[in-house]
Amino acid sequence: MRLRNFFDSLLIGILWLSGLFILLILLAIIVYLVWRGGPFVSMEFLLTSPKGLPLGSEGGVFPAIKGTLWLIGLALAWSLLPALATAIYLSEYHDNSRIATLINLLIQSMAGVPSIVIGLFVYALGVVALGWGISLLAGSLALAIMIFPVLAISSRDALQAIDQDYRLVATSLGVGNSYTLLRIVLPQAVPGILAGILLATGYAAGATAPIMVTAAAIIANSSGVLLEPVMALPYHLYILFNEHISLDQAYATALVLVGLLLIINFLALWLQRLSERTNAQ
Amino acid sequence: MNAVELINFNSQYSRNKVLRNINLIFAPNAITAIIGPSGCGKTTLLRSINRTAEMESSYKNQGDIKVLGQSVFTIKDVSRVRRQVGLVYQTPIALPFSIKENVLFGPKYYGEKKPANLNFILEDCLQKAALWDEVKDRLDKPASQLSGGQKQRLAIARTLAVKPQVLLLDEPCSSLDPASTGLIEELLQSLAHELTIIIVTHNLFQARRIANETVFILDGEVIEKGPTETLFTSPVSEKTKNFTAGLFG
Amino acid sequence: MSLKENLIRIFFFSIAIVSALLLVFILFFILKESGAIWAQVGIINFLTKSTWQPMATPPQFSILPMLVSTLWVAFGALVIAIPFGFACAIFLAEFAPAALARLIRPVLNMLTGIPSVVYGFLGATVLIKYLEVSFDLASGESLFAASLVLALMVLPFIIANSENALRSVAQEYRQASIALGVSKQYTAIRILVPLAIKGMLGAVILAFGRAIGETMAVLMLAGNTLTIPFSWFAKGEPLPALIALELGSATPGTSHYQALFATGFVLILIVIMVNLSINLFLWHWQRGL
Repeated sequence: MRLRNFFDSLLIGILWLSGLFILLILLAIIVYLVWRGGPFVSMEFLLTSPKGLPLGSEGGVFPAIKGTLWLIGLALAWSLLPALATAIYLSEYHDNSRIATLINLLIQSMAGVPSIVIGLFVYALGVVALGWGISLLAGSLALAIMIFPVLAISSRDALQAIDQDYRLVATSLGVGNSYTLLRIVLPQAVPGILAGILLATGYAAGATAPIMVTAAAIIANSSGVLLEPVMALPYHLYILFNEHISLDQAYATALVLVGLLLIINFLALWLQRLSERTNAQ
Repeated sequence: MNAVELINFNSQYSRNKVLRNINLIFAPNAITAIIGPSGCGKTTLLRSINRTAEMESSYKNQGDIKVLGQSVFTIKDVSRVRRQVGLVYQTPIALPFSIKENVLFGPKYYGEKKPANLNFILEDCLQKAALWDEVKDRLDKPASQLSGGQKQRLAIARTLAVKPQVLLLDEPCSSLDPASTGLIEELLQSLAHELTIIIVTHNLFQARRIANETVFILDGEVIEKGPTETLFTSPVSEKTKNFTAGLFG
Repeated sequence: MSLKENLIRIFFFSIAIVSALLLVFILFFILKESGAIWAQVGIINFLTKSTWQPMATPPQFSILPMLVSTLWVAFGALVIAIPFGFACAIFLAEFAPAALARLIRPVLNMLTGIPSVVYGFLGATVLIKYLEVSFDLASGESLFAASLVLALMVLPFIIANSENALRSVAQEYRQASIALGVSKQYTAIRILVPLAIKGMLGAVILAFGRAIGETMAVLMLAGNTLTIPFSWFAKGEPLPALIALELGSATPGTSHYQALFATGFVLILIVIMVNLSINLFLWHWQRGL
């Protein structure tokens, strides 16, 4: 029995440590980035272009921020409507459950496809075969394919979380599916869908592999021209480190990127809570 | 003309037979109660009449159901049947709108746009559902704030707003307190002057208090149907007698 | 159903089916781009020889070293992440005070939200420096370093999904066990974990799929040498890193270009197989097998 008690105490100690370790990891990452990168982040860093020799050892990351925003914005533009339509089909119109199961399975598998493979696909199709070259268009398309399953799955779940009773009531009043969808289900699902969009945005903002083969350049103005290469924060970070340009600048870039993503994540969590509360009512 | 008529009606989920050879006539402008033990097919019967049972993909039926003389299965547009035959569910359901928008949800779908007409429908239906006095000062407040009994009356008002000729209720009082139950029973009796009402209830007292006629269903078959008093006091079938005996002991 | 409703239904259905079939299209397209390389090298040679030399004459294409690196890094990451992830999941599901659990869950989300290039960067500047200094190595880049950082990256997935599995165990088991005077710890290990183990393994398979496809972290940490690794502490170059590093320099249509697409095809097949297996697994599980 004493042994039993000893093991019980040991186990609870291990469990507590592992839980606290998780908090420690995030804290350590943030504190370390702020410590190493904080002194180099300034308005000037955010709002000027890379300068110095080698290029990027001085100056800022403004074109990379712009490029990342262009990439995310366009990726959402390509994928949001198809993803929403797919989610609506899966949640509201799936009479033939076999086909719906198949579509679900395909989309789930798509979510597992490594992002570099998506980059490979868009490289062959867009960059080479269609002659776009390394470009904003190709990169945003790769990101669009990458976030499509995230958007579709999160929107589907947000729609399915809406009380089934609302649909029953509407049907028994003779009200058509599409009207119910537009008037009741979609408005109710908006916070959940928005949370999914934010998660997908964060995912796209941090993705490096697919854009390094389709869109990213070491230096570009990133002014939104579809057939020109762009800079992007994650790729810029990779280059600063990998080409040994400047470690200080790299830490500052990492801090900006992580800061951006944490803000997006906070918003997504907040919206998720909000939607859970509405659905619980 | 009979309000609702079931002719040799059978239904099943997958291979599981729920209703067998039902032949029933429901009289117009009267309340008919359907009683029977849980799982005997009462709810399926109700949902078959306004064709919401079909939403379950494993559901199948044979035979015919006529509402006001016309077979519901020959009507191409199911929504017309559902509009004609309103259904109120067991749990009170408030749509995520204001009280006003709950009532006007159906009429707006059917294209009513004039504010004067909409306001008339709103007041008229809430009056008929005996809810007007309680909510007339907070029509724009979310319906989720109402009590269970109020939500159930709101559900009735919402159904009345699309002008049904038949009103089906599936154990509408099972989750309500006695006071709310009393209110709903009263309003059903006054609605029966202009509507055909079919109510499924597990509360035999309720059937006896409000129904003109009562149907007893057991294992998917109609055992007995007759004027409520007769069915309760001198039933023909031994099974009915055993079931209603619960009333006294 | 009215004509209008039918048209709307068909509209949503067509978009859904076209979007879902995109995956099939991607597969076929990548297979098509890999073209003649399969016949030229042979499937068996492609997978089992140990030399990748696109610039040699004749060029040699075999992905065995990269395949071994990929699997080694991914399994290594799991070996590190599993004990830790399961412990944390048990803590969250059974022992953590509600307020602490409410804090840890969003933290897990945020750890997932940090991009892999940042993990790779921190791994390269902090972890590898540390390995070099404390073990006096010329270079700390190794499969081990990649596994360690990858473990950190898949940890949130393992924890979140294992916690779900543990939570879905019916409350009665806990009550029945506690009623016998058995400690909460003993209950968790002897009763709850065995009941939830299939869901927890599902979480592990999911994490494995992630680890195999991860590019940036392994690219920055594994050392990028094209030889077969014979130790966890050797350098290697997993498949995604190979594609990312060489795609830009391969001229379209050459056998080098085709070989990279063949590599991509192998990678996607592995991941899809992992994914299907988890679906089958969960499906059997839900049917009470």
